[in-house]
Amino acid sequence: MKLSIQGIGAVTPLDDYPAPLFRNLADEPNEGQKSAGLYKVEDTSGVFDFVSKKKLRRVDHFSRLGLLAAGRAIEDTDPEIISKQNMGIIVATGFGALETTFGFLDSYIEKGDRLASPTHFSNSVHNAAAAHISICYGIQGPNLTVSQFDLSFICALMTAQIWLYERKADAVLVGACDAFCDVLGYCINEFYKEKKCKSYGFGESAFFFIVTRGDQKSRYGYINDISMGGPDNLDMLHDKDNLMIISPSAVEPCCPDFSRFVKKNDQVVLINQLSAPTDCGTTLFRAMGFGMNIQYLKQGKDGCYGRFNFVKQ
Amino acid sequence: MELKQKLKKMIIEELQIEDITPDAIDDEAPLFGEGLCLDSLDAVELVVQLQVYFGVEIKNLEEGRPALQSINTLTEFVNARLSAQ
Repeated sequence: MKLSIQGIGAVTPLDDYPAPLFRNLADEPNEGQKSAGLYKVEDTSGVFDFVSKKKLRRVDHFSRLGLLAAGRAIEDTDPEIISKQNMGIIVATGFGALETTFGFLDSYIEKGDRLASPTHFSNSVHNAAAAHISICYGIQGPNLTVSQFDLSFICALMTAQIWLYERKADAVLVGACDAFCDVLGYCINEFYKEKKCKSYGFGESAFFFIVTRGDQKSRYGYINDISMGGPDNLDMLHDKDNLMIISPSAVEPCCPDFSRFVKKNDQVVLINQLSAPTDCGTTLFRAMGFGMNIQYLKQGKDGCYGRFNFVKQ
Repeated sequence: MELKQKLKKMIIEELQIEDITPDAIDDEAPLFGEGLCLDSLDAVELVVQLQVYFGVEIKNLEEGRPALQSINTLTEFVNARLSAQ
């Protein structure tokens, strides 16, 4: 069953939403720009357009990223099409609220378990963003957070597909959200030094899509053929007219198994984006922006892959 | 800095209350519901931070309820505990 995309919203380290997302893939920030801080989203104040400052007092950066992207997706969707009573929410995250989690662990280490901050704890759980989004926007359907590193977003898409097929929801706000922090930057650099390979770019961003069953007409296009599995049971379409986008794992060395999926005459792009592990969302956004059909393949951990296709019609 | 000011500063910083200065907090105003509009999670955070900042423990609801009414009642409670130490 295909999914029909009804609304989109994103937050990335690139300013001037949404224009930079629709630039050429070759326009990724260069090394100089990366070191200038393009890993981080410096300003999430746009979220106050959707939720009052008072309500966001205790809400941390990770959840604000999710709230802002989700708010933009809801704003982008025709209210006649969706009902918040029958809308579910699925947030995919590779690492959760890292900075808050480390803050909680620091207070635990420094002051002991009895004096660790309860506010930090409540925000450190992975489903904090999904909870804030459903409370602030009044989404009353099922609520789930998926955390499977690189394959989180594809797993979330599969779940959205099942909810819609089983009519647990008539629309699903599905998205990916990950936040960068200094500890992660340090760990990644050390990890890659040890592995003697170039650092893969981690960054932060949030992407949300409102999807409905495929029989509803879409302004943007459709997602279909979502699947996960090992190299032996994952078939790519090999439509030479559709660009194949291959995205390596953020936590595994680049896998030679990629060659198994590529056939002669396939048009292939290997991406290495700043916004991993939410890069599936970036790619989908860009495919919509350029109005092109894509076959997307994402490498996960331990030889596992995920894939989906995006088609305009 | 006097105790009352320290408590107000602690509340603003630890409970992440924006756009307010310690002097703007009314000493008599209720901390919960109205006034500063704190909630139950703030109450738990406040109990933890009183222990971190002043070494003062609120052990149960009977102690906590009267102490956490306003800045004045909280100051009296912390003062009494510090004097007893």
